[in-house]
Amino acid sequence: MTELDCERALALLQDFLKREADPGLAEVIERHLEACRDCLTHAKFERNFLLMLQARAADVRCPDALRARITEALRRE
Amino acid sequence: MAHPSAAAASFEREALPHLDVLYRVALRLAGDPSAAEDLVQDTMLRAFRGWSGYRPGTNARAWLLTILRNTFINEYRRRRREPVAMDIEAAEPHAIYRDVADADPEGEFFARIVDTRILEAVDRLPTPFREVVVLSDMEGLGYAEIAESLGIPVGTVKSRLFRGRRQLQRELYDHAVEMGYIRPRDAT
Repeated sequence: MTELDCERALALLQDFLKREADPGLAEVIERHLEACRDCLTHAKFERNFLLMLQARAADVRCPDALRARITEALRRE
Repeated sequence: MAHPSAAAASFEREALPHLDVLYRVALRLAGDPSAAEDLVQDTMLRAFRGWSGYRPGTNARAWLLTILRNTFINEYRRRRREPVAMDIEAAEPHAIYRDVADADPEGEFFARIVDTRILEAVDRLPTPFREVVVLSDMEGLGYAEIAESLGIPVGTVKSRLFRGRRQLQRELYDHAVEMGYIRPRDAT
């Protein structure tokens, strides 16, 4: 596959942004994004959304009290 | 037991490092910290009792997430109000990008929305969509690992992710309009 139309490129955008597209296909998508301003902007929009979600999730950790409770319960098993 | 058995030692080594991700996923599944804590503790006890069924060297995180998810579905889900299910067969939800393209083409309004609003919107997704969005977009798991954790095909992971994300974008967009972060297209 050497060329993509916009519809096909957008259908593949999710896989591309998640780095789940095959390398050959990713390259074709990338070429399309370089050439098509509208799809590139759409890709940036989706990527910003993903980065935002990731960032909001990152800093929650298992509370120490829960960790201790689990370790204790496992010892009693 | 004076000395931890080999099983206890390998469980501590392979399972306990995943407590943070299990807790974060439990928070989004169960909806509040106290239920999430109970869910994680139940999950770890079950996992420990079933540890002989885990094959060393395989994906411990996916194995634990499967137990977490099954425990949630079987014992916890009825305790929280399940969001109104989207009609999975309904027509493709319309992409929010088309509405913002003129005003905010790169989606900068997302950055202005406070954390709690984002998390509330995630929590309003029906469980089948919420779990893939959390595992993929918040925890960064790959399609294959999500499929393994949830016991569904990769194609289903992808389609639920797509639809879950669209619902989420729609809610966040409506909120951003309400807050005045972005002007709706037809209000000009």
